[in-house]
Amino acid sequence: MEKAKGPNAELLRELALEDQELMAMLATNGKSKPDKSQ
Amino acid sequence: MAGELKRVWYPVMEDIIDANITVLDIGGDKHPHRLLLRPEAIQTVIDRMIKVETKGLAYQAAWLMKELVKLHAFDGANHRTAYLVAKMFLRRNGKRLRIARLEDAYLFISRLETKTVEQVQDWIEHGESERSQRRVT
Repeated sequence: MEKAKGPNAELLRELALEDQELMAMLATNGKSKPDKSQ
Repeated sequence: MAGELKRVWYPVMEDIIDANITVLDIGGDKHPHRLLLRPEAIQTVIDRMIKVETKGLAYQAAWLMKELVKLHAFDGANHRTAYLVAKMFLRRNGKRLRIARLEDAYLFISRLETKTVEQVQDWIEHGESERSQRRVT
């Protein structure tokens, strides 16, 4: 998989990881459900 | 100094391409990153975003999200990319965008095409509804 290389790559990764569950829901058209235990 | 204007930080074309690569990587998507348009098309969106600076950061973030989804510059993950770029734009300018209810955020972002810029701005600032607690602080 290609990796981001620009000056903001690290920040982008950090921000995306903050919303990992939302990203998963958007990637799967809502099939991925949030973990209720957290 | 009181009254001093703070310069607004703007993403560059490379940031938006990197955002798409990042969401595909984080999501473990099978299809690779692929740009469908000339990179200059993305730059045009950024240039037009700068022109609405007087409307404020939340409006600009909303406008950027809408325009990136409409542009459909990538083969996949355009909604996720638009959201991540808007979030980075706000963060770089000292604002934080947080999600309280994942389901509401998912529904809102996945239906961005049906929203006006003002509705997206309102969602960024206050949340879509009383149930949705997304806000900029």
